[in-house]
Amino acid sequence: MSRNKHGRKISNYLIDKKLQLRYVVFVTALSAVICGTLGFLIWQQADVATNIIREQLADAPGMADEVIRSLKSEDQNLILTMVASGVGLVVVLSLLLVVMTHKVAGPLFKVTLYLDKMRDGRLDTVWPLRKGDMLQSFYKKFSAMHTSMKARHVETNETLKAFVSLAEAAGIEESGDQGHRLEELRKHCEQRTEALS
Amino acid sequence: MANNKGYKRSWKNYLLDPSYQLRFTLTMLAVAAGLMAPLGWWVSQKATTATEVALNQIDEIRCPDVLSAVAPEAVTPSPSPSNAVVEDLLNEDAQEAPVREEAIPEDAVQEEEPVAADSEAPVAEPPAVDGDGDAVDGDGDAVEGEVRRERPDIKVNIDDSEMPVAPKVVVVGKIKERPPTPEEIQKSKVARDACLADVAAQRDSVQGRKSLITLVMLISGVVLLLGLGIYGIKTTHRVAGPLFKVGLYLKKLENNIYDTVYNLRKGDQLVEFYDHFKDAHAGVTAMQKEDRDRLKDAIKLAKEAGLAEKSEELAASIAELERLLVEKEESIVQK
Repeated sequence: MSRNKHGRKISNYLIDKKLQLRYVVFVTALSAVICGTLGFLIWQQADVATNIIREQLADAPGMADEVIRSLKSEDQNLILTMVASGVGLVVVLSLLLVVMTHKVAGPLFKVTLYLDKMRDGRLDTVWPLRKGDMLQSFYKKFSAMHTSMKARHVETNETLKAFVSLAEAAGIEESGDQGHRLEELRKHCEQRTEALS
Repeated sequence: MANNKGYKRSWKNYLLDPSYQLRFTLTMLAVAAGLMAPLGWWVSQKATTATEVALNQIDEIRCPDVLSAVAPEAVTPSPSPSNAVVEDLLNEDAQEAPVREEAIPEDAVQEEEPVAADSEAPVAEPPAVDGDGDAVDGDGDAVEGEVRRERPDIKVNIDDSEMPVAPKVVVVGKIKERPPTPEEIQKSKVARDACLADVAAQRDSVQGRKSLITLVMLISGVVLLLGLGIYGIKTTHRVAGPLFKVGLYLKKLENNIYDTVYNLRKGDQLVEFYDHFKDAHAGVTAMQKEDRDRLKDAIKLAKEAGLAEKSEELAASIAELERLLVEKEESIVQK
């Protein structure tokens, strides 16, 4: 059960880059468009107010320079704040998406490791997912299948092992053809026992 | 493979794994809404402030008044001994109508000084005077339209002992102002109307932009939530779809059925994962076939060696092997 305490590592958060980044790019683009549009509109509104004040101060050049400089500075601060808000929104959403998609990609990665073992004819123990992982129902299906399949192979192997033992006890000659075939059955049982351990 | 062709996605089936898909999508929606709400509030505050500033500035715009055809009433000071004579002399000018008269208080005027005309203020003010004694306006220019008058020959007896410090003789000028022509009145009306229309247009424009910002904010919020919701369900479906398919094969394997594995639909994600599953399926199918072959070998060996007759245990074991072989044979679907 010590494997169950395995924590998440930052370097492993992008397990399936294509799967994870696709959604991140979509959300980032959508947020950027919305923030950009709102930012432009709010800047335009502030710019209109600034221009009206500038026109009204045209008769007082000395005072106008100072006021206009202050208004321009305020408008620039507004733009900077909007840009910072947009970037912050995108960064927070992107990080959250990476974490969320990692909770999908993580279980898939784990299942992939078991699948690779199954491909090589190995059915070892399936450990549960980490807390907070998604795809729990899918993983339960996989785990149930794995347990059931392993049980059947164990049953077959135990039956074969029992048969080999009984056949050897029955006095089959080891050097002959039947003894050779019995030996092959024994080797198969040993390999299978190792694969199911 | 033929089954795969022509299979299309159905909206009814988009929630294949509701717990995963809804959890993922609703979490994203909640976070997006949580981030957008303060941003929207801030944008709304800024828009309101900018709009109020702009409207205040627009409200300070003063449009010119329309010229009136009626001349303002003349302000005539009460007659006094010092200026009564001058008043009589100037009465002839007063007959020319319409004129605006301006009277200057006797303690605030100088001798024989022309008085500057002020078209705006009916109440007279002492005119500014330059170094040469000519009347000037605020910029120091000589005032036009002034009326110079002859100084009356006044003789004064001076008694040094009783002579008070009397004010100088006052000359009050009467300034004529030409009444505006109908064309000028019409022009001033047009100018005022244009100015008022411009102010109204500016107000409408500023208020319209504020409404636009509010509208865009609402639409952005709806688009963001709908976009994230729909795209979230669609994206998770592209993950849940292959997993649903894999889940069906997993159920079959759990029930000891080794079926043929077909390819994914076009556009599905997890293609790489599915390839791993196909390889694994092929691997466990090979294991099943190998077990089947070994069971066949064992049963063949038992028959050849007549092991079933040697002991009841062996007979039972061989019967078990035959049962397992039947199961294995049935589990492998041949297509």
